[in-house]
Amino acid sequence: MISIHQLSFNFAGSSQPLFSELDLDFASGEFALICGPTGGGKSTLLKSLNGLVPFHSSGTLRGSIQIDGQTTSGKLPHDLAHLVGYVNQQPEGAFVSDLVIEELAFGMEQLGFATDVMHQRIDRIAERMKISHLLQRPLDSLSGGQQQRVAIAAALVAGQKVLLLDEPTSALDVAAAGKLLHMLRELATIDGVTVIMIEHRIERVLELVDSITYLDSTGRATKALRTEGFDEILHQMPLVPPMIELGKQLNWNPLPLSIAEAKSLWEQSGLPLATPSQHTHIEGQVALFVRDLEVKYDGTPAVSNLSQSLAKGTITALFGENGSGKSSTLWAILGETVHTGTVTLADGQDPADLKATERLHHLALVPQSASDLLLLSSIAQELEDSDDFANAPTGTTEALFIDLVGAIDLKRHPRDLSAGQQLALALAIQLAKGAQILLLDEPTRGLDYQAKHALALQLQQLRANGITILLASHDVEFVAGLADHMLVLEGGRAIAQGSAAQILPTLGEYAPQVWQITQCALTVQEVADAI
Amino acid sequence: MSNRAGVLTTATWWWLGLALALLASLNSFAPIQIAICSLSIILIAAYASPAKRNAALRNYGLLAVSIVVIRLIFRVIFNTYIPGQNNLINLPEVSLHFGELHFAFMGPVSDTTILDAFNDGLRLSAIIFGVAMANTIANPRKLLRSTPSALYEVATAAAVAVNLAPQMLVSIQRVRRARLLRGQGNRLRHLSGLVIPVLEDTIARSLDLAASMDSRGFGRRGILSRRMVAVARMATLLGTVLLGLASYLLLATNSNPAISFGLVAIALLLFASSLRIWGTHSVRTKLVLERRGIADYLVLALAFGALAIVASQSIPALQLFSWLR
Repeated sequence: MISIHQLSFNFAGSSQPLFSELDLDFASGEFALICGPTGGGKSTLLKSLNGLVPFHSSGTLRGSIQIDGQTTSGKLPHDLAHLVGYVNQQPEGAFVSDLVIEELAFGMEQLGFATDVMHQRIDRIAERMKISHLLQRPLDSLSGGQQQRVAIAAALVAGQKVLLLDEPTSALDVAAAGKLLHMLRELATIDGVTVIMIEHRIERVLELVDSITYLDSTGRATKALRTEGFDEILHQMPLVPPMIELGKQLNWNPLPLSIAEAKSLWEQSGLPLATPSQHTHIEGQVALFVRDLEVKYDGTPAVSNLSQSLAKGTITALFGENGSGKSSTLWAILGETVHTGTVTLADGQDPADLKATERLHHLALVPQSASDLLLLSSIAQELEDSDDFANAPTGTTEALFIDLVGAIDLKRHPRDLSAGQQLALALAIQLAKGAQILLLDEPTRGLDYQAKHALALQLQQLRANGITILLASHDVEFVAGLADHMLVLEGGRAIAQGSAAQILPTLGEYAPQVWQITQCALTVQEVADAI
Repeated sequence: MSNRAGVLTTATWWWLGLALALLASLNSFAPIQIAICSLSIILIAAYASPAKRNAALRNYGLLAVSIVVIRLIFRVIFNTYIPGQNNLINLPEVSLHFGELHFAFMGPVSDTTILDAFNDGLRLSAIIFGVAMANTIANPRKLLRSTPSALYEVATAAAVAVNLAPQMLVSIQRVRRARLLRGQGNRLRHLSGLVIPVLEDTIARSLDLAASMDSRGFGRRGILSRRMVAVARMATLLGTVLLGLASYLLLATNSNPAISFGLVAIALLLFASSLRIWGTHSVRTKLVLERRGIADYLVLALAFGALAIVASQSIPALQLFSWLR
């Protein structure tokens, strides 16, 4: 279906190619995963397939691409619209209509379909993507998962044979992401659509895809089919999902691609099924005390009856799906959102009563888009400004930052740093004023495995230094390796609360992969320690 | 678009908005400007979707008020006092001398100056309210999707531009909230720091929208010979040049206005023929046609009638309403 020959790309003004001389083929009805480190050119490769690269970017593309027997390289995106559908990371920003049905019609209107054909096709694709009941709804009233399904339907409604997706599940919670991935699998198998998808979080993707294309940081691509070569490619990747890591640790051959496979391999391995190691409850000085917290927006409760005390030097995870009240809780604790209930610091003060500047000496929040906190034109300036503001001796923030990321050129512009490094810089700045409590909102969003791993180490180090951390996350694997305590939120209410070791095994299909496989350990590290 | 806004088509809302903005820009009679502002506000209150209504009224209202205030402040600082005018406020005069050049700031402010400044500010506010009304009631993206394909390049640029303002509001809110977390208030040094993330965010998202529209076939045309493409493009270009010339003649010189109107007529003919050439080869269809009803025609006739009367005041023979000047 797609044949890429000797494809190279250079950014304008750069002599170093992003990738060079790629030769790749994708079959009809193939569900293909593209993965690799950030900045390796995955998005560029994907966009070159429908003409967005080079026509909506600056740079030079060389080589040839053939789709469905036609040469498509050199054609404009709108001339390929009947053949290739493209869905970007944030569908809500790409919508051009008010209602779902209008959005679905848009592409076909541009292609000149007759009205009755449009209605037929809309009905068919809506049924396929399970959005029939949403057709007359305004787009901005839909959930993230529904919006993503509408975007995919809109990209395929005119009968496109190729679907390109750039991290479609990055903003979705586990349940919505799982549903979406299964729909994509069906589109490939039943409708014969060639689905090419970039993903960072591949733990739930591996069992569904037909092929993996790994684009490394030097711009080389390796492709393997499920039938052959998956093992080598998974061994080649530096950081992989816990399930694969466990397989590597235990020298399983071939590596498992689904939880079910891994389970049977684990049973065969005959490793002792120790009883779950119950971590001793960490008791210590209370750093933050929350009782009966309640937040309402326009009369609708977003958080109700939430109580939790955070012991000094521990990490607590607020775990839950999108819209379960995690962010609202963090902002309420900070005192920036109107709430009822008690929030008390160790010295008895309520953060809401403190001035913003004073409050930073006690607790600080790092928001989802940490780069919003970075305001100046070099790292050095940011660090200096932070010391200045904190009345701290010169070098305080720098020491914190270097501790987190290691040596780095301080003349660089903060916006040129990777997402993980930006987050670390924001952390350092927020901690420079001496805050002993750190609130983090979805810190792993947009990070690859490598960056997540680095962040986990950073947070562990902060904990060792006595910082108390409360993090909101729906990334169970990240939480499993890190949190001491957990608080599971659903619809603004705490449905489970306790030590992470007690809570994680009870999460069913949301439990960490290693637990689902072994029923006795939560992380690969625990298994490794046991043998 | 909310259901109530369905009484007029998207295009009519925008024509009405533009006509009001033009009307405001063509005269300096304060009651008309106030009427335009009030009409726009009433229309927003009555027809905008509840989700957008309050935010729009608040934001555009603040913008309008600040324009008037800024205008007043500027005129007081860069003040030219003509002796004989009624002196309203007596401010100390500040003079600067650069060799031969001499600048004077502030000094006595006359009531004429204040009134002029107020009228100027009011006119700008009325223009903004006219466009804001259309923008709030009828989704501009919806208008874009039915732009003639002859205007593809323009429409793509417009798609990016139209999305900028609302996107910028969202970005500013987010970045300001984040900055609050860092705890640094209103220090000047951080102003550029606010601008950069906001612009980055805004522009990136607008470009995403343009990319998405392009990927879905926006701007696609039927097969047209190279010559016809060239002819259509030339017609558009020539029409634009003539239109510019006509407005220059109308505003800047004492030439016969009839020449200007003649040029405008020719320009419109050229545009029409260009659209016609593209139109015969257009591939686009519509799922649901928005049909103009009696209400649309009435609104358009009234809006453009009012516009014609005001515009005609520049032709001496037609000056029936001398108070409008």
